[in-house]
Amino acid sequence: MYWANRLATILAYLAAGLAVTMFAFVTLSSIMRYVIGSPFSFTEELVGLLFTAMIFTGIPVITLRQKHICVTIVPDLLSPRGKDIMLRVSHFLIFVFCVWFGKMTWDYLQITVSLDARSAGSRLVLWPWTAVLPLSCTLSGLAALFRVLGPTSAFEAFRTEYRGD
Amino acid sequence: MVWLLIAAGFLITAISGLPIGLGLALTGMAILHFVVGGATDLAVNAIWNVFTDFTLSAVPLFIFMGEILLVSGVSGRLYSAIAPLFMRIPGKLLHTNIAVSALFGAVSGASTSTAAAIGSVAYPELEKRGYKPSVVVGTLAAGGTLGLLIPPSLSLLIYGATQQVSIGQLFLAGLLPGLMLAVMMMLYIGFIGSRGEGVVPTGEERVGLGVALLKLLPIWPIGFLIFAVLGTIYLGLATPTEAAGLGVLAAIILGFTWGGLTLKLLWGAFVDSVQVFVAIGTVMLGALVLSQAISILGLPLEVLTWIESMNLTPLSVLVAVSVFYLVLGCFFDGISLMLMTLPIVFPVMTGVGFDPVWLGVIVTILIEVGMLTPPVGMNLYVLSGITENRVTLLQAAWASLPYWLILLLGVAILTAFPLIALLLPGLVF
Repeated sequence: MYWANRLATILAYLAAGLAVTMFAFVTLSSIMRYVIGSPFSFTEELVGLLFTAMIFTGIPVITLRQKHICVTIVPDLLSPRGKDIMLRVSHFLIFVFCVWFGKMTWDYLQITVSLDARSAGSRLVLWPWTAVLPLSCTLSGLAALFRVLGPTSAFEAFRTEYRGD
Repeated sequence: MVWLLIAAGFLITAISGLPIGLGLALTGMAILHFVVGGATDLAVNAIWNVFTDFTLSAVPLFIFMGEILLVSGVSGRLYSAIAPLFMRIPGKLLHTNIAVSALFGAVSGASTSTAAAIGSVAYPELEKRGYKPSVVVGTLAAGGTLGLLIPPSLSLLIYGATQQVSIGQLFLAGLLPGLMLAVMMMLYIGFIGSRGEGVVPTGEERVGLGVALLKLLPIWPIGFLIFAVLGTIYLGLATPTEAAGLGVLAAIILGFTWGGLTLKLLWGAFVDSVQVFVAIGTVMLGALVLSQAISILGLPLEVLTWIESMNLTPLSVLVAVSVFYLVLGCFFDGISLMLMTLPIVFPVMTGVGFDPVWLGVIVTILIEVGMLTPPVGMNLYVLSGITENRVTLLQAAWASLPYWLILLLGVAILTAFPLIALLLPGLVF
C-alpha cells in the first residue's frame, strides 16, 4: 500500500507542477506581449504539450484514488458484496481500456521517435511528450489491476488513510 | 450495429460504475475497430490534436482560479458585504444567496464550486438566524447553477473549444440570460418570502440603504478580478486562455493581499484542482474518441436526414433534445453529459437552423437543470453534505423544484426571444 500511495502522491505533485508551469507560461506570455512587445514564440505549443502531459500524469492518480467521474447509482443500491464485485468489474474494464489504448499510444510514440517528429511552429521535440501517454496507460492499468485483484480492506485503508494530499 | 454499440456502451457505463470518460472511449474504440475497419489509430490522433490546442488550456486555469478563491475565503467577504442590501425586501437574505452566487459565478466559472463556496458561508449563518433550512438549500443550489452560465463559464468554454465557436461571443451571450434567470429566481424568492409561513424569520435588524451601500465598498477588489478575466477579453487585450492565466494571477494576488491565502493553501489548491480537472479531462478524452467515431460514420447527417424525412420543425427538435437532456441529466453530471452528446446534438441543431452561440447557452441551461435533478444532481449532493444531512437529498431536490421550473421557463423565453442571448455578441463582435 505504501509504495502505491507514494507513487500516487508523487504523480499528483508532478501533475500540479506541470499545471503551475503551464500557468506561468500563459501569464508570462500575455504580460510580455505588452511589456516587451513580443511573447515567447513557443508558448502556445509548449502550453498545449504541458496540458496533455498534465492530464495523462494525473490519470493514474485518479484511477488509484477512485476520483473519476462515474455513475454509481446501481452499485450503490447493491449489497456490500455486490458493490464490491461491480466495482471490480468496472476496474477490469478500465484495465482493458489501458491495455488497448496503451498499445495505440505506444505505436504513436514509436512513430514520433522514428520520424523525429517536432511541433509545427517552434520545432519542439515531441517524443518526450508522446512518451507520457503509454507510461500513463501502464501506470493506470496497474492501478486498475490492483483494484481488481487487491483485498477490499486495503482499498478502505487507502481511502481513509491517504485521501487527499 | 453502431447504435447498438453506443447503447450498450452507455448502458454499461451507467450501471457498472465505469468512469464515464473511459466508457465513452471504449465505445468509440469499439466502433472504430469493429465498424470502421480497425481505424483505432485515429482516436490517438484526435486526442493529441485537440489536447495540444492552446484554447483548451483555459479550462484548468479557470478551475485553479475558482479553487484559489475558495481557499482564500473570498466568498465569505462577498457574502458579508452584500447581505445588508437585501434585508429590506421580502425574502431578505435568501436573495443574497442568488446575488452572491451570480457575482461569484462571474469569477469562478463552475456550478458546484459556486454552490460549495457560497453554501458553506451562507447555510450556517441563515440556519442560525431562523431561515427554513430546505428553502435555504433550494436557493443555494439554484444560485450555484448561475456559476455555469455567467461568464467566465466552464461549460461555455468547453463548448466553444470543442465545437469551434467563439468563446468571447459565448461568454457575452451567457451574461443577459444569467442575469435574467437570477432576477426570475429573486422574484420567486420575494413571492415565497411574503407568502410562506416560517420561511423567513421576522423581526431581524434592518440596515439603512446608505449604510448597506457603504458596506459594498470593501469588495472593490472583486472588480479588479472581473476586469482581469472578462475586461481583458472584451478590450482585446488577451485571448480567453491568457485571460484565464491573468485571472489565476489576480486571484493569487487577491488571495494574499485581501483573503487568507498562504503558500501551503495555494499549493494545495493546485494539487486538488488538478485532480478535479484530470477527471473532467478524462471525460473529454472519451468524448473525443466517440466523437471521432461518430463523425467518420456520418451519424449526425443520418439523424438530420431522418429528421427531414419526419418533417419535424426546428421547435419540435428542440423540445425532443430538451427532453433528452432532462432524462440523461438525472444520471450524468453536466459537463460529461454535454461532452458526450454534443457530437450529435451540435451538428443536428445547427443543421436545422439554430444559432451555435445561442445553442451553447441553451445546452448550458439544460445541463444546469441536471445539477438540480436527483439522483446525480451535483449541487444537491454538495449542499446536502454542507448541512450534514439535516436537509436530505430528497428535501433539497423538492426545495429546488421551483428553480428547476424557472430554468426551463428560461429556455422557453430564450427560444421565443433569442435576442436576449444574441444581443450582446451582436453589439460587440
